[in-house]
Amino acid sequence: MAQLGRAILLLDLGVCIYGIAASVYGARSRRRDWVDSGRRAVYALAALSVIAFVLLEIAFVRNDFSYKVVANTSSTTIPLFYKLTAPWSSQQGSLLLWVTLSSLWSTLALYVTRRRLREIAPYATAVLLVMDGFFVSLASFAANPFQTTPAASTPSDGAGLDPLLMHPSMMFHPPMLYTGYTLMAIPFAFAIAALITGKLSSEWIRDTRRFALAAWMCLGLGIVLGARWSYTELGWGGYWGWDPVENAALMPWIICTAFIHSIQIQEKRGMLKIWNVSLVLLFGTLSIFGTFLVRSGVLDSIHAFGASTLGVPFVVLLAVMVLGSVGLVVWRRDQLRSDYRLDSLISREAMFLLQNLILVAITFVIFWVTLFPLISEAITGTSVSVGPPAFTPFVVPLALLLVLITGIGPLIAWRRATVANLRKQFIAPVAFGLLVTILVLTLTDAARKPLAVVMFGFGAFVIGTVVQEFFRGTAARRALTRDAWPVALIALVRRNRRRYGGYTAHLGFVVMLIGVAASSSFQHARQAVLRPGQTVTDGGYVFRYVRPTESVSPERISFGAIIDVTKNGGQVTRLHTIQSYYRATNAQDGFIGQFFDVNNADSTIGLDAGPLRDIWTVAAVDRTPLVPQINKDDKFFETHYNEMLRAALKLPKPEQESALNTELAKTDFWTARDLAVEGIAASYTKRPYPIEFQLIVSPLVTWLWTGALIIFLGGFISVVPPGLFGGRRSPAPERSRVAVRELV
Amino acid sequence: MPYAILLLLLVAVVWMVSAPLRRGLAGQSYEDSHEAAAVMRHIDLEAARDAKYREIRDAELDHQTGKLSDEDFDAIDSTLRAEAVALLHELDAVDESEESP
Repeated sequence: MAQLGRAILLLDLGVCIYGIAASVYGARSRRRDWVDSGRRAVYALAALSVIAFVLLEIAFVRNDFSYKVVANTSSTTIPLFYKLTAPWSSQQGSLLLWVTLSSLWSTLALYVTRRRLREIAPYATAVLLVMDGFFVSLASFAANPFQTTPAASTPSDGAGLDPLLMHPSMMFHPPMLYTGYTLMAIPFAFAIAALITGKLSSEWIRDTRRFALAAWMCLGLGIVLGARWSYTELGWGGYWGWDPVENAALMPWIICTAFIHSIQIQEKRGMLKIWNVSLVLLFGTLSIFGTFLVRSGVLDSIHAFGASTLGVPFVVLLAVMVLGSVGLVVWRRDQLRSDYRLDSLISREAMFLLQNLILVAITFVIFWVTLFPLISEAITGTSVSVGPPAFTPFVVPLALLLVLITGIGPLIAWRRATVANLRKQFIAPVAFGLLVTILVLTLTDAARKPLAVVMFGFGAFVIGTVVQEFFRGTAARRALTRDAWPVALIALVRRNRRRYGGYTAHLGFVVMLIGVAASSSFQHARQAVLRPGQTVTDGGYVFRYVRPTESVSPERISFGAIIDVTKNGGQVTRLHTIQSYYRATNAQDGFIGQFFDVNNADSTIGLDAGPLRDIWTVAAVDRTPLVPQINKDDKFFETHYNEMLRAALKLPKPEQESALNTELAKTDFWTARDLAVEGIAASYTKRPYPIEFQLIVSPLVTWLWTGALIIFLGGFISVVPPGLFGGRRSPAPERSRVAVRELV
Repeated sequence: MPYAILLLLLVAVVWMVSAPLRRGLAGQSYEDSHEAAAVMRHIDLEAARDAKYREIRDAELDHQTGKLSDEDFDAIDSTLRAEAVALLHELDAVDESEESP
């Protein structure tokens, strides 16, 4: 089947080339048949890519270690769930996933627009196929997931999946990121097509807005899942480390956030055309830039695939995207001039513009600091590393300003506002913001972190704004319909999904940032080496190491620790943290040592999450005290194995393997080895030794995850098609005539 | 077996992408298809009308929630409604031209 997979990839490439040619020819000759044929090439690409991906998944599920990618990233002992996720843990498999997702979304976009955007769509098809063709080429010639090893050298078991990737988030985190990235290609392709054809009205924006919104939601969800993975799996207690790959995902998301706000100005007022098209081109390019960082290995990151030869092709693609985008915008600058100007600086569109500028400034800061090590190395020859302190002095003030604008924007009407109206709108939210600030300053010791206090105050102001908006909107609705409050609220949101979906997202955004500000400013963290029975205090809580735990399974050996947490003498929670060692396939580790490989280990944190604080702990179980016994047993089993091997080697070659296996079975060699492993594991609990713990008490972390969920609820409200929640509409001709009577 | 599947896939792909070329659309350009152009115009106008409705609703909501003064609302609302009426008349004209033989 590997042959079939390789052939399908080549067929994919052929389909891409044909589709590009057919679409461009159809567009230039204005032949519908060729345009339709080009579009169908995208459908065919999607179908073929899905088949190829299914073939790869089958290879993983069947433990077909003749596939190099299966041998390198899977094994017989990992659970089925992780076998299914293992394809995207490798460069090769993730490229195929990219092509599959990209072609599926392209198919959806082109199907939806098949009767519209007739002049733009063929060029958009060609652009999408160029990008898909690029990834298919990489998957075919540079990192082929269907590469195999000869039968003679096929291993009996694989190297296994990196234990850090064996986390439920991994099922969804990479596919969500890729979905976000690949969905961003759709507005990008239509923007390029609109620039090529000169059809620069708001039509293409209107038809691709939902894809931009879906990209924003999926990429955001992917980022949050990654943060959750970092918090619960990486064992450092944080959720965001300003890692280059994390930043690479954040940048297009921020620009997309700017876009989904500023397109409203173009749709309503015909303004900001250059700005909007530039934002689309920017987030499309940044999504490829993020992929470049992950796949090229130019920057150190825990999320990257490591060093590879894919950097150069990506640099070429990025150069084409950047130069092409800039060239097209400059070429069409006259047609991109705004139809109107701002009526007033005190208007919602002015606030949107200011918000956009702040978002772009944040992106610029992140881009510059992320790339600083590369720039520094190019100029000085010395590699430097940058961490959170390099980002926060710039990002935090900008984020505060952004939160403030998030609160102000919804209080101002489109087009213009009067002082009397503004006063009426601002009184309650400002009062609420001030009240929360005063309460925080008087009831807590937060004054030592003034920026966090400002964030709480601004956050409360935004929450006040959103609550007021919902309240006044519902009250206005009730005044018209006399519905009950819940009915009026639902009707209000249903009729104004974009507005109230947006407000919901704003609410989630500030809830999240309040969580970030609190957890990063007021975290109590300490490390302590404890024996069973010993205690340590952190953040007002007493941590007592109760006892060690151990468990042995075919998949892993786990050493754990039970910790009781008390406060003022009362039990708060009991935590269980575990460090697991997964069996390594490296024979040099020894018969016993391969079960205790430090390079093949992960940690399970002990976490008690609450609405106001998280208590987080991880144990760094040092296996050093076990090493003498491991080495001794390794030597013992190696000696016996070598004796049996030498005896077998004296026999004719065809009989050697079966003779060795018979002898191993007769002596219960493997059973004895397993018992020895269990014995060593058991000694961890029989003769407990001191363990180093990391203990963290962090406030409002749950607000971060809750805020993210609220953001996606808001995005969902905005993105769902009107028909999903709306009633049946009258036929178009009838509707327009009725509407004329109502309007005049 | 893989070769047979591949051949099957190849035939399916060729059949799929060549369908428009075989279906008698050959030679039909955008301009030739008068009906298609009218449908496209109709769709565009409907979208423009919906956007205008949204603007009117937004202005109404801004007024009802106290963001727009009565004078500002009257000025904005009458402008938006006039624009919407123009769009609706245009839409009617397109509908009538579609209905006429």
